[in-house]
Amino acid sequence: MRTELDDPALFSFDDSFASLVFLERTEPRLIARVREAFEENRRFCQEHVRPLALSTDLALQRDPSALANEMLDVAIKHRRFSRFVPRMLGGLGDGTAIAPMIMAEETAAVDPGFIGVLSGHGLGMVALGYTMNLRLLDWFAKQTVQGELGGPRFLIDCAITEPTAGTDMEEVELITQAKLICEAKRVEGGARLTGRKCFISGGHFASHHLIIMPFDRRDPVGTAGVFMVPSDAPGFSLGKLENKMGQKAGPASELVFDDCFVPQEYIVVDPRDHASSILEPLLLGVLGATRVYVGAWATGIGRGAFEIALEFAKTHKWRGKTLINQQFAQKALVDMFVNVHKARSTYLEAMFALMNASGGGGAPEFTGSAWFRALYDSYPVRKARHSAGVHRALVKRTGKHSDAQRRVQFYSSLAKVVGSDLGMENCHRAIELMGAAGVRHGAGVEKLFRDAKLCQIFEGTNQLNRLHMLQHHFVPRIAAMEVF
Amino acid sequence: MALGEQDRQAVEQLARRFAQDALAAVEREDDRYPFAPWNRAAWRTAAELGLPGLALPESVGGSEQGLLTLARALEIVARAEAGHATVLLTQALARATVVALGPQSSAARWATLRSDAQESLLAYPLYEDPEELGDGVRARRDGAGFVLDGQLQQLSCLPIAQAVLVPALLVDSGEQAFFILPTNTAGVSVSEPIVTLGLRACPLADLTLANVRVEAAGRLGGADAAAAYARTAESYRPALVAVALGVLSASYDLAFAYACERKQSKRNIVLHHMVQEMLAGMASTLDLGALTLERACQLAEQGGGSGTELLSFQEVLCTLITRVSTDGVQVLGGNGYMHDYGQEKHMRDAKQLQTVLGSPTTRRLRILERRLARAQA
Repeated sequence: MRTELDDPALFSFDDSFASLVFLERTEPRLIARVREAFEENRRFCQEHVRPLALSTDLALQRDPSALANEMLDVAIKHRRFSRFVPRMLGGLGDGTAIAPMIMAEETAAVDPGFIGVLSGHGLGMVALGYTMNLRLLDWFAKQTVQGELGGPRFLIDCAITEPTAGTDMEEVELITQAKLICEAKRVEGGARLTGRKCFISGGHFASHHLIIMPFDRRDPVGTAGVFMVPSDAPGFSLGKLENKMGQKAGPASELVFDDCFVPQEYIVVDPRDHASSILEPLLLGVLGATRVYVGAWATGIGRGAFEIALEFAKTHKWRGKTLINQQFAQKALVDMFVNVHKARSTYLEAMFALMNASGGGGAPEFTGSAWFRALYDSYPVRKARHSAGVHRALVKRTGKHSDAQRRVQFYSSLAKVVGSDLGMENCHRAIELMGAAGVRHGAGVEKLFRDAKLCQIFEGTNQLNRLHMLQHHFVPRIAAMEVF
Repeated sequence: MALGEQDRQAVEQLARRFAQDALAAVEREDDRYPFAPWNRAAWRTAAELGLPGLALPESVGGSEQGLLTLARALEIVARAEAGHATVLLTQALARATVVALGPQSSAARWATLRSDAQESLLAYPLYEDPEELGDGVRARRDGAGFVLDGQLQQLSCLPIAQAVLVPALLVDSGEQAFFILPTNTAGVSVSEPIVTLGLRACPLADLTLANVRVEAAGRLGGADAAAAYARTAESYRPALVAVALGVLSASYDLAFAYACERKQSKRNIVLHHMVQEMLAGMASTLDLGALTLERACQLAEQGGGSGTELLSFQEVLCTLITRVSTDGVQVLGGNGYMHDYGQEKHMRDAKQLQTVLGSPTTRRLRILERRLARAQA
């Protein structure tokens, strides 16, 4: 049913991102790169993602044990995973949050499930970055890029949630009260992991798994370690592949650790080596970034629902008159359009908050050049960068809270809550406008309705994110206020 | 014949038994249709128990126990499996429509619930607005009979039906006419089953008619058929709402039990106000439904009240139910999103029920149109 919009400029860069157009005056090179990435991604989604969106969803409904391998192949062929790798490490990312966010919206408007294919690895790379282990980050980033250029596939997920601890594991203040089942123990030459992690995005696609697990369950913060586990590690196995309501292309996996040995060099963060726990800065850093991403993702879902409803209104009549020219339909459409802009404005502000906290507008142009990469990768620079001392110093630095980092916390939760609530609302509204036509799989909007719900749940439920906003924005200012 | 509360309770007991024996174990498998076979055995059992005939006259094998009895039975069945409840609703409404339109000979042939129930399923345009049937199918007179051409979308039970009730526009007079024809009639083609958001145990398909010849006896009703058709559908809105209430009831039970069991911050999540707020929204919607369902059924049996109550009843409750059933998933968090827990199905079923008997958006408009008409009169 769905066809191209008559006017693709309805969501053009200039009509969608006034703040970026303004920024173009002072940061022309940066915004030029963002524009280029935006236009390339739009073409990619139309040409390669749209044809697979509904057929993949249907195939995975027919066989819930299958994986969206065709989508994964498309992602690899078109180097979508290299976009999570900065150019100075050989990837295609420019090191800013702008392009990934607006591309998330664009992609989700076409197929949120395709983001599910990408996002497990994105989360893994962001988490690996926040561990500050540059040795493993550099290595894995290069392998990811090589994997997309014909080498073996190197993708990573990030495992936090446990079967009995979902929300509790997403909030530092609650972790000490979480009912954990996972634990690591030290052994000669490394550590052994035991337990299960669940709902892990991209687990069945990943070659490696970034695991957050304490050495002592009674002190999950102070003894928190981070481990990198290859899929072929002895004692590791993939458990259940969840049968989700929507976002079916992105696998949600159970990871099982049965006395799984991790050699010392794959212990990404060993709490013994650091003066303070990595857990709080890691969780705040990762979720601070990924919740903005979810906000953009959910904005795209709301926009996709609007676009389908608009197309329907242009091609269907009620009492002899096209819906697009009837006020009740116009009202429904403009309400949905308003929701898209509300959600987008929120995630853009959160994105700027994220950039403020991470030092500005991304890596300078020269960091992508060949000479800089050669220098960056030279032995003395690499040796210094990969030293335990530098790792310790970076972890210590991330543990310091700034006002900018505090702002990221409430802004990111705000983007996630607003985007996902409005995305869900738009899916409701689109189906209500389309009636019976809206519940047919072929129309596409019932899929978005199923897809949208996940964004209200993962990366901490929207209820937890509301508390998180209060904790980081109000509690520091209102002495009598307690949240957790 | 009106039944007392005791008799109604006996019927409810029957519906509970059906839900437990025939549906409870297969609920999630039946949700896989059309990727799994349709559960014909469940329909056969329901028919043997007389569930589709609860509100139908004895002349067609019904038990004349009234709309409230049917509604309560549907609510109970929907708690177990809303798709099967929708099959029962479709069969009851299709037969009631055939009876209302007449003639008696057609009612006897098509509406009668027979012992070989599996051979007498009817397809009905359950998703169409009964007052705005459109001209998807056009009929022209041809001697003593008619020739039908056109398409109808998303007919309830069509993939499993032996006959289909077809609204058509008579091209010579411009009036709405209704026909009933066996699905194996020459020129009738039925699409592959349609995959939809929810209610998957109630199969749907599109219908295409190409030069289909129907004898005069295949026409239902006369000049006032459109009004009779709409009146019948209108009177079944409370039964439809009952299905939605059954879905919400199941969703609430799951969410409440989970919230009492699941701990967060070392406290059962039912003690968290944000969870309480969601559960309260679900509970109050259920209470509203319980308070109003009986009155709505009475109004339906008395001819629909002043004209807007039944529409409003469906509109308000079905819209509320779609919103709070998404909260039912939210209470379970990630588990709610997974098929294994059964909660996501309730959210999908509830949303699809909102689109039955016309789109919600135009339903809202009609409520005011009727009130305007009344004010002007």
